[in-house]
Amino acid sequence: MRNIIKILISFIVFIFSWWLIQYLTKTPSYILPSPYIVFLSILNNIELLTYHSLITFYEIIIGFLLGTILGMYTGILFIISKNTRKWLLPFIILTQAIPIFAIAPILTLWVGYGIWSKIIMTILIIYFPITIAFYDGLKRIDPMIVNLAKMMGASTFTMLFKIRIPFALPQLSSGLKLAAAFAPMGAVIGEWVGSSKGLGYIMLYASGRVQIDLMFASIIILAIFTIILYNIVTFITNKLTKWDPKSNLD
Amino acid sequence: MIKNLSFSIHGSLSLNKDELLSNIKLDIKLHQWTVIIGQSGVGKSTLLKVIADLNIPKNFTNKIIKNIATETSFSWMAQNDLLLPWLTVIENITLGQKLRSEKIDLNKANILLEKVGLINFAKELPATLSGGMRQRVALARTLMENHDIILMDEPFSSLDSITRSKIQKLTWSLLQNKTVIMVTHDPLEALMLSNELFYISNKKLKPIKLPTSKPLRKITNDNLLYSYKYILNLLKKSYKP
Repeated sequence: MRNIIKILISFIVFIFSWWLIQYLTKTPSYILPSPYIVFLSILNNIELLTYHSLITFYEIIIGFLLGTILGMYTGILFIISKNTRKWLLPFIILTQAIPIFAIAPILTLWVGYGIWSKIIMTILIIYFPITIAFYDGLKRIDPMIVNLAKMMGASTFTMLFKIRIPFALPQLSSGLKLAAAFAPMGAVIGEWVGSSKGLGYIMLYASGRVQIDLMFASIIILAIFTIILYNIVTFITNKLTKWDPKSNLD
Repeated sequence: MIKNLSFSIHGSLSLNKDELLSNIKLDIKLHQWTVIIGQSGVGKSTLLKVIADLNIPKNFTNKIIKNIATETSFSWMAQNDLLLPWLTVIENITLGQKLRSEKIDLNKANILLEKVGLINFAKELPATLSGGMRQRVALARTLMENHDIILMDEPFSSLDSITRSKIQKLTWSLLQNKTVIMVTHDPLEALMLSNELFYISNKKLKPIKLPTSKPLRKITNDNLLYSYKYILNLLKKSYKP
């Protein structure tokens, strides 16, 4: 409850600051619309925005879930197979050196204009932080805990699922929080490059027609969704890591 | 379970091609406490890992041969309690059964918790316990496993002196009939708790003659003070900065 109040206060301060800047600088509304004009735009375009928002949210959630599964799977592979780590890790790092904007048109060309190119963009953007955070957590375990579990008769499977993975959850949580903040970026970049649906498409559509209020409305909706996604992920990870005081600092 | 009356190890251990232990020979008597004393870095902890067949760092070369039944099982108590922070006290004690997918014997776990004086903390997480309490949980976990040989790697060294004394006495009372191999750098602890005492000096493992009294010896006794000084002198002679 306290967190919700904090978020609401931050939101009110943000809206007030925005209004104050617009009011004091007398910036025309086709450059910086006031919060009230944006609010009206949301109301007037509620059907359009709902339809396109749901598509973007769908891409983000599916991309986030698949990226999380893929990242965790890769982290586990890195721990159990030295060869996989040796060959795949440099390749993954190399892919991060390529700007995501450069990959987006290629993906659209390969996968098409449908939602899958956006989902893949989302996966690509969150895969690296999740993989590295999870792998880091899995390898940080005290070797003597691994030895102790071996002496107790743990199999490779139980060692992984009952010892290593729980131990890696605080690091994985950090990766998941980063992913929650980055995932919407992946979907929207994909929509900018080639799409006829989604909030990214609406942003480009509104920009081309100088409907700045509609563009801001799309940005606000995306920001609110990102905050909600981040807080849901934080809530779940805090529950999973409640045993770790460092993960649950106020 | 091992059926012989003793087991032995012999051989050498090197670190980066420099011998740490050279042609050592150690006979371990069952149901007794064998204590090895030596400075930090002489290979005490690595020797314990070799005995338990645990992975040792790659820069060690192990040429130690063990004359021990292959089915011998080991427990480990270390300076760090090695409790899993996401499990409660009772879950930590029954961890071995959980890992082996056996039926959890909560009755035995509760009896052991009672013995170590932590029955009221069964549902607590390790983070809420003091260092001494955590080490008592580790002791209960060791007893729960009931393995053939218990290896102790300076298990009391992170505790303050009063807690250490209490935990030493508790550990001794609960494990006095078990086969324990403990390494320590504390002469007082070695003298108090050992049935057999060895020290590492100049790459060799040498026995130290103990007073005739039984372990949990009181250090106020003049003879023991003399023995304590004697061990300290032995260690000082072998000291290499």
